[in-house]
Amino acid sequence: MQKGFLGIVLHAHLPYVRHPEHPSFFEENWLFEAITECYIPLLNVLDRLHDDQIDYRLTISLSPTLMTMLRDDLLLSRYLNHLEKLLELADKEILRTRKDGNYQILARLYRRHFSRTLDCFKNRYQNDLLTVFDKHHQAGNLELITCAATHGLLPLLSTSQSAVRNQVDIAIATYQQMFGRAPTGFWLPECAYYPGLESVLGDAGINYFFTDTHGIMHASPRPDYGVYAPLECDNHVSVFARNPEASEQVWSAQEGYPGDFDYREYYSDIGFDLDLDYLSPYMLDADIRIQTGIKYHRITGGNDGKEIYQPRQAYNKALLHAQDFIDKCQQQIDRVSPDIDRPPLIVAPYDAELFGHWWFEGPHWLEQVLRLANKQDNALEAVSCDDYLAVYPCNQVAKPSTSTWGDQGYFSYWVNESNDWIYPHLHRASIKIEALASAFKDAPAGSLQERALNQAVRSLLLAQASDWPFIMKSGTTIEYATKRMTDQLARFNYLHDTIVNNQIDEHYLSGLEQMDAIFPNLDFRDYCPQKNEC
Amino acid sequence: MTNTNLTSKQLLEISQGIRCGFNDDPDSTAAELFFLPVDPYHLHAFWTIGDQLLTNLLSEDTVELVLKFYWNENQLSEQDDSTCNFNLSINLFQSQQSIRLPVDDRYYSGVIGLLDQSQNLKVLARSNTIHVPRAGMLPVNHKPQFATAAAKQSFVSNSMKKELTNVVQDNRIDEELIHSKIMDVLLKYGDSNNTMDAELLADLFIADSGNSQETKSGRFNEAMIDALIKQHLHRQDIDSDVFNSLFNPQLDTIITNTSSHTFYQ
Repeated sequence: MQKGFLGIVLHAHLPYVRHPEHPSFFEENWLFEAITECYIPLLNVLDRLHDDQIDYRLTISLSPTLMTMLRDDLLLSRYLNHLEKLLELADKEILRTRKDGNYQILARLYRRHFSRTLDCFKNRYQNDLLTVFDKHHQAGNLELITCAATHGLLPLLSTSQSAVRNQVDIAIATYQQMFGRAPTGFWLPECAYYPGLESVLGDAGINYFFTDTHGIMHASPRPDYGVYAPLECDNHVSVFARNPEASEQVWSAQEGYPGDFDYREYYSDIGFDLDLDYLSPYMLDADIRIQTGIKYHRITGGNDGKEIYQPRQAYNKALLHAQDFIDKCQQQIDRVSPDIDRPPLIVAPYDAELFGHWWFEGPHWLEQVLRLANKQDNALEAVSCDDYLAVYPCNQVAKPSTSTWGDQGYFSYWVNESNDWIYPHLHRASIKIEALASAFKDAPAGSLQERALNQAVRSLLLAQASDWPFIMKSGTTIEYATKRMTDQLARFNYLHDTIVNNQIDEHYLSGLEQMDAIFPNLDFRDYCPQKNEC
Repeated sequence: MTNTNLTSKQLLEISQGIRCGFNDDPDSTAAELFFLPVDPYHLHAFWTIGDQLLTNLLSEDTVELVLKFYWNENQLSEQDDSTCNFNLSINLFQSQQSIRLPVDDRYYSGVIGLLDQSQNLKVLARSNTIHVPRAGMLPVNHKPQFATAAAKQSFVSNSMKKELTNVVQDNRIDEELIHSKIMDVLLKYGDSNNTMDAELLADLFIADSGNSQETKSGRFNEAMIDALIKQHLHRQDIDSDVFNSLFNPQLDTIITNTSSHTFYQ
């Protein structure tokens, strides 16, 4: 076996969804489901690894919008209500399934799972997941990085250099505010890179970032080591690329692990299966069916009905798949080692929300992969990008190629007939904020004017989220994405007009500050174009 | 930001009130053009030409509204007919279009304008410049260039020097601000957890200023900045006596002759 490195990267992100103007709001469930099904299970994995003194290495990117929501009192109190309702539903399910032992076992498992989650969140983690993430970073096993402020797709915002610069700088400032230090790495939203972006990242103090496979494979000049080593840009910022084989094993709809027939079926949820009258207290507006998180069937396969989920069987399958993943990584390393003069590096980035939410058994798989990678008799060693650069600080100098990890590898998912209407609005708003920043840079600190200008920046940042055009194309919650986009643009334009006309309404401004309570320390003056920006 | 807590009802009224007023019409007088990259062989063009011009064109048949695209391997500084280009007629009622491109891996820019019957183009607006991606791998490179530690160190030193010079030039009167901004630069280029070292270095840097008002503006010089960078990058234990001695103008030779001094090792 040849020696090699494995760098697993999880990108955790949710768009900023917070509606204090409503007593509850369906799309806030995205956060609640992710906390219950993904983030707490992941932290439980890290806790177990730590308790067992496993010297693992893992990189997690936490987006600024996600970090902000994980510290938001309103959302956290709503999350606790969400968990209480889940417990209530699980209790009802235990009663309902009392005559069917197989289903009742699962109902009890869910009850126990939700109860442990609540206890963990409130008591063990003190309602503060970021501190737990930081604890593992401080312990030296977890590398925490971040991504753009509101997950803006930076190449599509680059008509305004100040827009790109501030997406990066505000992200770093938010990370610093949360953790008291600067990040060394940066996750580009959708791995979207364009030439010159490395300068923005380098100026912000970032040491490395990630692209999709062809971001490096199509680099100029051609990479000598393929994706098995990073490249170095002209300004010495390093770039790591996704390993396609390691990704395929997890992401492939046909061959990836999550599609195994023993794993839990995501779409077989009691929210769509049971009587609506029974479910109404837990549904949207009492009569619109939604996912509950209680699912009783496994993927099964074939054209017959879904079979009942067998947790032990699924768990064992996850362990087998973890070993298979390690074996295949080792095979890759053995295959390419003769061609390069250093241990190959396999970079395996995934959306964090895959683990536990879409792929229920994912956290168990990940835990086992990290345990196996830690074994002394393994030639494969789990590393972070900083670990790798400490050993191999000098890499091939090349310019990466414009790319994303989206469909087709470029930008068509975000610029097409379903969402192209947004770009003229974003473009105009970027021009307007630069003009405002220049015109009003001497606004007194703490004045109504300064508050309005800062709030206009918040609206613009929130409108720049790439989540909205993504959703418009994917067709899942188009109405909500369109509404969010329109609302943020409307708020920006409203604030712009009141500032220009010197008619700022403090009542309206206070309302907007309360609704879009993000990035408290930003400064609109950072949108003044810099000398090298045209 | 304010600490005022409005009720849900008040917030909803504000949100709905602003949304109802949303009317983001383009500036009715200005022409504008911008591009976004889509893939190696497509870009998306967005434009406006202004209401008055649009009205005139609707009744005019001697000129044609066109987009003219330029492309080059390098970022374009000039847009003229010596650069590769092509024209595209556009529909007056459109304001955007997906454009098929002839070549991948190029910088593209363009203009929107009026083309008369003599093929003279009156430019109304110019676009931004974008780079469209490369569609495939380049040929095998037999001489890959690798970064060297010296090159990286030099790059970091130069970057630090530029930033520190800007700090002292922009803030020469305000010592406290200089101190704070110097610390920011040192933390950016070093161990971001080691605020104590950064603070001590910044203290030493300021300490040499003396108390004379006449010397204030000239006290931060290039040699001091170079020494600060060397001290920080070599991460030696802070030795204030040696450090301070470096800023004595009569001891310039010490700075140039310290290559064998343990201080710089």
